[in-house]
Amino acid sequence: MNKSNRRNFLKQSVLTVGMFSIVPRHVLGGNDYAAPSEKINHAIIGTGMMGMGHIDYVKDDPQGNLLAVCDVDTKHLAQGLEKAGQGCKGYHDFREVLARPDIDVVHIVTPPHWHGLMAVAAANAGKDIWCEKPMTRTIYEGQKVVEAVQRNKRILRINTWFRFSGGFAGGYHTYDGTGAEVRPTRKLVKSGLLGWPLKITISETTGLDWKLDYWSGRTDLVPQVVPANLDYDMWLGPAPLKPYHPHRVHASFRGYWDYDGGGLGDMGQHYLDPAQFLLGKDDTSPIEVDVDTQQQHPDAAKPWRRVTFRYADGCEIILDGDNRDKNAAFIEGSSGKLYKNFKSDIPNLKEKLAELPDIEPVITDFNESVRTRKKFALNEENGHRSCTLVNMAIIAVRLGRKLRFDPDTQLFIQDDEANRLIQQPMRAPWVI
Amino acid sequence: MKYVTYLLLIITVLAASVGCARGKALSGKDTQSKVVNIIAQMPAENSQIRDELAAELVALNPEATILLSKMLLPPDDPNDNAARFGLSALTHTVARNGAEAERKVYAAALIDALAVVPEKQNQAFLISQMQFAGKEEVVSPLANFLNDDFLCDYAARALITIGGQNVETAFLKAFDSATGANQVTLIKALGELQSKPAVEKIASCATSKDRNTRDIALYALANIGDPSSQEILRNASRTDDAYQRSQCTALYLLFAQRRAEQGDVSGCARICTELIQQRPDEPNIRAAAANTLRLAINSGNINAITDPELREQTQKYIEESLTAQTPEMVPSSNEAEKMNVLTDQEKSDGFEPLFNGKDLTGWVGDTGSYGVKDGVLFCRRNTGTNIYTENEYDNFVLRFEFKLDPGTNNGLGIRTPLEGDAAYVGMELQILDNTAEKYSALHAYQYHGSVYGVVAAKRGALNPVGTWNVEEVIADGTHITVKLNGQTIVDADIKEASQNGTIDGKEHPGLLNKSGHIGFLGHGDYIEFRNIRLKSLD
Repeated sequence: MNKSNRRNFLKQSVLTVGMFSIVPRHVLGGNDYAAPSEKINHAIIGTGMMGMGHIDYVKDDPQGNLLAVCDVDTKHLAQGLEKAGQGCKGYHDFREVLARPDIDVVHIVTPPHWHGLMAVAAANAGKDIWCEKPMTRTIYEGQKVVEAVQRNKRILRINTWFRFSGGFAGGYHTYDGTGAEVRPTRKLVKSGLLGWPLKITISETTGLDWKLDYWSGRTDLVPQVVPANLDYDMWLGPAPLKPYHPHRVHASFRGYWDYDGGGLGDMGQHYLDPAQFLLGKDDTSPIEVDVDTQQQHPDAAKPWRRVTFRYADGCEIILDGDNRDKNAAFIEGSSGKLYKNFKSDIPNLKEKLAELPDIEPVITDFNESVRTRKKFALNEENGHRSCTLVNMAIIAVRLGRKLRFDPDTQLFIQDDEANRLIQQPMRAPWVI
Repeated sequence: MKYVTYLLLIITVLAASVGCARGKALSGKDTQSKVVNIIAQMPAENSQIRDELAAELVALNPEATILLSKMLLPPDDPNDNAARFGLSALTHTVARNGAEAERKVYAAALIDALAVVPEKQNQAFLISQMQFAGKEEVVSPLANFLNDDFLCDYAARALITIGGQNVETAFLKAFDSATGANQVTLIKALGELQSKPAVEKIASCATSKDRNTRDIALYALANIGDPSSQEILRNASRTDDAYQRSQCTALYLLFAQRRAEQGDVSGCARICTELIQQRPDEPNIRAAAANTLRLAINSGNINAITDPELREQTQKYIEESLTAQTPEMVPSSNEAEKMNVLTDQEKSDGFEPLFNGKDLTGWVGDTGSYGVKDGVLFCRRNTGTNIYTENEYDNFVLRFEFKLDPGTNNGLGIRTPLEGDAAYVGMELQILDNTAEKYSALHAYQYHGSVYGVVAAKRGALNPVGTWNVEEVIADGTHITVKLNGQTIVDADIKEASQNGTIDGKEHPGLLNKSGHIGFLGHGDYIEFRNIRLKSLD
């Protein structure tokens, strides 16, 4: 949006929105005020591996301004500050970042055990949120984030993008296999050409790697002294106090249930969010999750073989962890199948699809969402539902049994133990 | 039939005695080797095998649980994974619905095991199993750990998960002797359980000097929602610290929601409408307050609001929360960077900044009673009094912006000495939220902008409380002009205005001072100033 457009927009919104708009300060402030900046000011909490990527997101955005980076590891903070360059201030405590009135968007790039708590605090502080996946470590925390974001009328996006764009190695399901968006696939599903209900399989065969070995936790760790550069207590935050080992933190934390859920934590929302979108399940959850797994360690995540979700209408999502089904179609229905790279047993599929109307547009530019206050394509609501898929799978894998779920109450049916994993108390003084 | 019954009885007795004998034998090395043999097959390949192995352990309980617990090694020796697999397999087997008898035996065994496991880390592991599988029977034993420095957190999390009256009682009992981190843990726990009897204990912690204690106490009081906590939460929501202000306001709204849930719908409505009216500059607060009304109050309970005006307002805000667009993006920082910096025009006109946006350089007087944050100069609540420019000025154009809180009283002193009441020893231009109810009976010369006691200002030019006002004061000899938000509200010659006595009938010996300091004259009310700049007219 150029300057004059932005001014016009602001004026219009003042006229039409009435009392709920923020009157821009230049309207009240007399002639001495310039229009609010065109730039959107960002802060990044967590400057580890992914945090460095987020610094690139902001630096590569001509509308973005990076004002603050924050990390509880002084080494990470130093690398973040170096990459961020001039004009960016470093912080140890995320609460000081949220106290800055000039920050518009807060990136939450911590391990998942912090996501929910920080997202709620950011929403209460009036910030928009760019949150790493998985959105929250528990289903309850997800509910709290939805509530806080909506109560404060904030904009939230999750940092995964397959439901609206591609570019990921291997690609989601595209015409040419180079990696592009799933929206044409959603069009195909909606057309009914494949039949109903549908079964989606997520596996190596269908082009999606679960990285289960990579994200395994270790069970042979001998505690080590916390290095001076790390504030381990603040890194743990709401997580239980356990002895330190470098494998539990930073680039390998996903292997431990206290912080995340192994390969499901890393890839789960990437893969499941588009699957949920394709099936049109953004406002509901499965009624059942079943697992085939080795016995899981109480502390460390280990590979599993298969997770099966079933929706009330019979649709299924299969996570084929050991790639057992070598002939799996990506989507299978009673009338047709769609394989990796948009191959199908339906003749002339591309031509047939070209004749159908495109699906309704969504906002895929986060800046646009922030400026217009309209929901981003992947927001707190559908993001909470796709993260619920991740958390349902994690709980079923940990417990090693089939679970039934009520999509409305968002509780497991007749399983007290599983329900105790939906809401897990935090270590004081942290609370959500 | 009698014969059959008799036979059955014999069989039962025999079976029982055999069982006893087996039990005795098994409590020795036999059981140990069986348990070792079972867990050697763990981690099981799949859930079916795990469940079969767990069933064998269940049959050996409670001994199996005690034996497995004793196999846990000190934290620096990781070679006890088989025992951990064994215990967690037991947990997941007995905690599923339909295994209540087995679960009870297991939970009781875990309690006994706590006494024979020496390492705190391993006790924590057992308590974590109780968090999955424990119920009422573990409450009292776990309460014993609430005074343990390390295990309090683990025990509290397990107990919160279990919940109930006995858990609340245990937390309340432990609270009285708890200090430091344990006290914080217990405040949080009582807050999460919404414990009314805890309110009084927790209230005293809400003003603690320790941040963790204070923050968690405010959370707990909000979540419990007892009416006695309202003042504490309201005051907390008005702090100057931006992070605390936002989080405590969210807590105050949580409190409002709890009030409605407990039947005090009017109380909820009052809190939310007050926030909407008093915090117009914080869009998310406004939205959050309106949404809280919508979530807490509905067609079923809105008539519980007896005050018709409040009911009407509530209805209006609820409707707006449904229809209004989300708030516009908060103006961003480049504006903040421009704050307190002269524009090119001002530079060429000869203005100089009186406030650097960072500290009180150039100011004297009771400087500790004011503060600077985010480029804004503010007067501290309760303690703010007078600050003055170091330099003296005679004829000038002064421009500044200010933002009032509800009921704020401050003043702009000009041509004043550093001591005495500037309204008399110099000149005071009133700064006042004269829309506040407490100022409903003002004299004309007391409204905002007035030369206090001498010249009455025109009313109605103030922007709403909580939004910025732009003021320009021109002091040119005896001619005083005050422009507020583009409107001229004072345009008078003070010599003429005072030649037949002042309108307040008091002596103003400093009124015609040629020169003096410029000051902000505080009365302990919060107000923000920014962009304070001056051009000398000589």
